[in-house]
Amino acid sequence: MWRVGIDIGGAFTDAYALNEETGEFRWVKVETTPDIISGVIESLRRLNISMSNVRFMFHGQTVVINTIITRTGARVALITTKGFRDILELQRSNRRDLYNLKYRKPEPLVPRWLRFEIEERVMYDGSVMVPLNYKDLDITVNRIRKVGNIESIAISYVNSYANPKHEIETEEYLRNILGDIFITRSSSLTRLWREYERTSTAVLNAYVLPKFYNYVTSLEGEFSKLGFKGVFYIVLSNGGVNTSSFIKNYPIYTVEGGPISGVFGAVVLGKSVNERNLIVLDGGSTTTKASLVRDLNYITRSDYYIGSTRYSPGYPAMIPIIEVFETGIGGTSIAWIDDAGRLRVGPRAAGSYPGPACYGRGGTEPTLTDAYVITGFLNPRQLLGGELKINRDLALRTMEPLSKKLGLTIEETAYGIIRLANELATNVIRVVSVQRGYDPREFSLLAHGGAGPMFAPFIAEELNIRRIIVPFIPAGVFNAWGMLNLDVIHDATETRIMKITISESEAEQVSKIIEELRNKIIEDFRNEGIDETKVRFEYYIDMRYYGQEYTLRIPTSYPVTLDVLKSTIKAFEDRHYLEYGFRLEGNPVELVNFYVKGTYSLPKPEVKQVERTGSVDKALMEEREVYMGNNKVMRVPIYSKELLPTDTTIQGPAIIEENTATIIVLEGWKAVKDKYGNIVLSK
Amino acid sequence: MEYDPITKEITRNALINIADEMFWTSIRTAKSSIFYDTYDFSVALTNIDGEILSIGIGVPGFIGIMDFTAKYTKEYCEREGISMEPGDVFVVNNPYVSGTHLNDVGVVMPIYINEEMVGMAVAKGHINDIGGTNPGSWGPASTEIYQEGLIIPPVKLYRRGERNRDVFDVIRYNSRIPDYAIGDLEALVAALRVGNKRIQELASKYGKEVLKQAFNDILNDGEKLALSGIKKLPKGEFYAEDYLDDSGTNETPMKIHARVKITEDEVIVDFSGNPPAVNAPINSPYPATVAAARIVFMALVAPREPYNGGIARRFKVIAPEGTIFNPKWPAPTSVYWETMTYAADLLWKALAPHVPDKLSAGHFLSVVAEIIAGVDPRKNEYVVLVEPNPGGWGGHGEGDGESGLVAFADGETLASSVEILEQRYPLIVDRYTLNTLDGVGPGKYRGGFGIIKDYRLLADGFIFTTGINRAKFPPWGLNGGCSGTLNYMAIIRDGKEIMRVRKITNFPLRKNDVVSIRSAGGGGYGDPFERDPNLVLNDVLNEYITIEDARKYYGVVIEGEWPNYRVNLEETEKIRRELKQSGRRECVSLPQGIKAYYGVYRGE
Repeated sequence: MWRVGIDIGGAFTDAYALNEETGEFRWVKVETTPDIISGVIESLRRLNISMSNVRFMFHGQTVVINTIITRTGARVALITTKGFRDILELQRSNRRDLYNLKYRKPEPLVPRWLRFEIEERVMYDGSVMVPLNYKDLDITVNRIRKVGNIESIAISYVNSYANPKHEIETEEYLRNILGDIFITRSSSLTRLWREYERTSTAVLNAYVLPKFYNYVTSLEGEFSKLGFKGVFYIVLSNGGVNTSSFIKNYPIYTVEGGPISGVFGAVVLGKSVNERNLIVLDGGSTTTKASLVRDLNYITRSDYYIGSTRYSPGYPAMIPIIEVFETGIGGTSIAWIDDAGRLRVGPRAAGSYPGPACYGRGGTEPTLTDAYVITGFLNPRQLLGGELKINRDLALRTMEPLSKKLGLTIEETAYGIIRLANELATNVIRVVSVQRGYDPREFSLLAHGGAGPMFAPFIAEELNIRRIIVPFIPAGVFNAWGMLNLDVIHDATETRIMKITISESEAEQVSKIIEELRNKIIEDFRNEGIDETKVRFEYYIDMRYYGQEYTLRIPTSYPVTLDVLKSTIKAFEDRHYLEYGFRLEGNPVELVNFYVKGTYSLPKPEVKQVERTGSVDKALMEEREVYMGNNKVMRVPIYSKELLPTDTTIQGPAIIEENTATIIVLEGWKAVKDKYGNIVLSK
Repeated sequence: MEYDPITKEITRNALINIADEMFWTSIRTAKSSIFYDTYDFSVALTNIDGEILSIGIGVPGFIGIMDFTAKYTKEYCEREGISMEPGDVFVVNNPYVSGTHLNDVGVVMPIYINEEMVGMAVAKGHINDIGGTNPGSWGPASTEIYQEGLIIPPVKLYRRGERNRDVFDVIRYNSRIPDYAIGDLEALVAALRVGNKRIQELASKYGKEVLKQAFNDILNDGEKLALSGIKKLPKGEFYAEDYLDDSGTNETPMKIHARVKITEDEVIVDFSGNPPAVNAPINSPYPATVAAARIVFMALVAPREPYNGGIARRFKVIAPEGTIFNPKWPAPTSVYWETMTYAADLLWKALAPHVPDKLSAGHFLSVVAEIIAGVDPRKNEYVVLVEPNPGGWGGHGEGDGESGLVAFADGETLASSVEILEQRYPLIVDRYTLNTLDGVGPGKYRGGFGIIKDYRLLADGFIFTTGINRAKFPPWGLNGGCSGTLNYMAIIRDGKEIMRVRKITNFPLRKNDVVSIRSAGGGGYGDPFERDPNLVLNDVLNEYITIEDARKYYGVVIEGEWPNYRVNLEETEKIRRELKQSGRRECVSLPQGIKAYYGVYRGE
């Protein structure tokens, strides 16, 4: 049987297939069509697999994020507590662009005239102070009807995290009266506190819901027409998948579904090669992403901002999401000289069109890729297995003005751009490791993405990381392979503030909160036909010292006894010390959010060993001159990754090329192709 | 390691990243929300002279304060013969030379590489209570700095890495909330340690001499940036004047002014001739005055660049000692921030008509901060709510002003979350909305709206303190736009508004009293009769303004019923023509009856 993955991006639709028995991996790329669906069908046809032999279909998509960014979602009405109509417009009132005296906040997705107030009020402790006023609801229904073309409604009341009663009653009432309309209730998405952030989450979901729901429904229909009888899963931002029928009501959970698959792929790969601590580096064409895998676990958080930049806070979404940090440095980042005569790289990038100058598609500004081509690290004639012709002269020509301004040779300039870009990219690794109290030297760097393997050696040098793994799967499609290995995940979070004195009754109370969340998850699994005995649960509590704001997410176990509570608090204090360097002795600890995650493992195709064939000589394709800085040029052997035999050591400097990426082995490093086909670099 | 332009850039980026890391270290370790929600703190790395190399910042005002703190600490040590040794951490809060008010406590660590001091790490943050007469250590009634809390000259908090318990104890015994004060102070020190550690790592990679060279060049580059920004500015002399709402001790407004001179290679703002410092805490220490003015300078010359001290070399602030913009010991300064913002606002106002692509009409200006304090009966714990409030900004050449945005000297300052407030304090928020009650300054591009936030107390025995400006003289309009509205707070008892106030100390609140915070709408830009009628229509539909307002302020006639409004273009043109000919122009009427109470409120 096969499992098939479909990943739809703005420009291309990629389809992947993994044979569960043989481990065979296929992939095809077609252009994304305006209707999306016909491109998907074309890509499936080209995979050349009978759909009746497909057990699982996995789907990562950009429909949700693109709808938000291009503001092409539904017309939404927001129903909120009397006195709080402007939450969405007030936001948190911050001015991130500090020296801009004409600053504008991100524009609310619901204009003021479609934000309706209802008399009701729940207190901080969940008690009802003012009952829900149904007359106000009737007035609102009339107004919604008068407006006419409202497709989707979001409901968000103050303190609904503590008690969602009024939100639930409102939803029921509206469904009865308005019938077939899309409704999103903030408390159905998250039970975390902070009214603006929770309202924003509900509104974002409502905004994309009609489009996403219809999109998934038509895919379901098309797959079934093609004879598909397996399970259709959609990738979530938390590193799991849910069935299409469940998740199509909660599109906001899928907002970063694509890019995070690589983190899960790293966990699977790490398991097979017994590397439990990994820093995952995903080098793309415009950005670089990094995340941390510790003891084969990744970090999930619940505060995410869509479209956030240095100058704008973006739209908050309180959804569980794998912690991934991003920096605006990628393979096509543009190098430039600023008003003070300084060399800068990024955040502007050339993208695929026009792309770097050396692509010959009209790019006129020098990019990082051009710098790699000029120095010889990248093949100066062709890339992507010959599909992309490279013109080094064009790279030289665009680099020349920069080098003149800097007073350096073209090669020195190019090498300088590589150093500077890698320093900038290194910072994102520091953010995930050093800043959180982890020593990067205790991790291996797993590098994927088209640019990952060419960043990795420089970053490793910078941070004294001694081991780099480039996966056996082509680096450019590792995310997709990760996607095919995902598990079904349901999770639940809730804010419940508890100042702890460490007592038996508190342990019971904590146990009860976790049990409630656990029961909700069990119900979600049952709805997907999965029995809870097959579900692996993880329990976490976000904790802090009483009086602090920021919390640390600490694992705990269930049921919670007094001993469990004690050891969880100790784990918090240890973690606090590790991350911040001090403890607040005698200061009570406060529990803030509870997070429970249930995982149902789908069967995983084994990572197969490859046969040991060929020889280093046969893998040697050529030698080329590479500029290594400080006026040093070296003749470096270039190998084919595919043709290299396993278990044979290659001494750096050397370069190993594959279809989607270039692996650089610097001087002082050695590379070995392991028995699975991964390239492992070490010092 | 050899030195080249690439190494310089790598070092510059590394220094920016280190400052970021220092910043997050403090956020994550601080105990008070004024750090993690309000970002009322900053961290920086300086060269040996105290010039800022990189700064971690959430609030722009600190760009002028950190260098003063570092420079003063070093000068003080030299003058007093105190050695600055590796591992030392100094603590200082003397406002006249290093800062703002006593709450802002600075810590400074000399950075040594191989026995040579090459720079300093600095952190400074708002400690919620540093002693003195008032809970929270600030309030409008003080007449001398001695009433405003503990005064700390540079003393060693850590001596060669060893915790100096004596100093900690003095601070501990002076603060009403000692655990918070010490916790927050430690959070600042944690940032210094991170900064020092990272500089050591850089030094081991590049070497001391390369770093020193890079430090120099980074500042020189900053200076070049400023010069290239100044080239694009209009040259000449500019002037603006305005009024402070009061004189600190009485209700007589104070006239203030600024002269600005832009030459080929520098911008000078001269505050000479302004009123002398007053026996009230509204004096703005020189570093604060400079800080605020530097924000406008940044907006003019390099708004999207990370700040460094090189940029500031081309900006001069003249303020004679003994004036409200540069007070002398022992003038009180605890409520300095409004006067400081007026200093910047004068510079802004003088240049706005000439640089309409960078500067807007006047904004609500005031921090509109309040203190609500007392014992929370739910926890039997003394709690203090202090927060800045957002307001309306001015319209500008390209669009309307923003609504509900933090004031000028604040930045990544988060307004409180209602749900968090209700957990922490015994109060309920009855409403939190845009202030459409008082309106905004009309214009071709109108001002943005202020806010209304109503706190209802659920416990007895709480006190209320505030001190607000732009409660008499509204935000200014620009190039024909109307001025905005006023900031104030109202106390509502038994459903009746019993007072409107802009300045009051320790007013006793009763259970069920409502404190209604209302901030001003921003000034308008350009002639309101030139506002696109469709924008006016949109404002009516969204209930920002009424149909009557549309006609009165903008001469636009709106017809139809919600939500199907439309513009009657013919009538609109006719009315606009008539109004223009008659020269009549309506601006919003200002809220009335706003009073001030000096000292403790004793009723009327």
